[in-house]
Amino acid sequence: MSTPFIRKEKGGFLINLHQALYPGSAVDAFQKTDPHVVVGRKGAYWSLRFSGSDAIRPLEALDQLLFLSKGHRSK
Amino acid sequence: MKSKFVKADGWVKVVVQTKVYALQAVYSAGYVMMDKAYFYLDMDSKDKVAVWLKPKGKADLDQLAMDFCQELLNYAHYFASLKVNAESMKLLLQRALFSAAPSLVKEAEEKEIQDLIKELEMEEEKENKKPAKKGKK
Repeated sequence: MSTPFIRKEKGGFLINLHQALYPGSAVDAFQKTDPHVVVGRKGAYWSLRFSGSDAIRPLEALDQLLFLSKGHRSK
Repeated sequence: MKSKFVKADGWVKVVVQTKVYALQAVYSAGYVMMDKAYFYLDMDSKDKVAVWLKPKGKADLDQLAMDFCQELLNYAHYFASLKVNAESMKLLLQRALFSAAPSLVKEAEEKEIQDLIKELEMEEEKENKKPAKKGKK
């Protein structure tokens, strides 16, 4: 499964998240729940690298990140 | 009639104007539909957020997008009402709390008096610390 924003890479998947929509605190909180995710920066985006072939993992990450971003935004 | 929503690889895109719908409404609408779809948010342009939805299970993409729009309107209305009614709600809660415990009123008044006394004392100290002006001959 590969879409414009969830890209299949060698060894895993890559998602780019806009920093204005996904606060850094939310991404940090998410990384604590899944330490194997590699977080980087690419311009105005966070880049999250998921290793493995499980296509559901990046999708489930989107659920968590939406929840965390909602919570961190309302603070 | 042709669908107005852009679709790609099982995802459907809803573009939201941030001048019309606050970002908090977008998050809330997405959160309430989390059992039905995965959500991905991106900046479409300066004032527009692209919300991509992927159904969790079999669902019509257009219907999913329309449902999201409904929830968006619902939360936009909710947050607008919250803002308008905030002051009234605060007063109602205060009255409810004070009527349940009248001693709280006395405590609040005593605290206010103490704060005023402290303020006066601090002002007095500042005045005393100022050097006295030399008198003219």
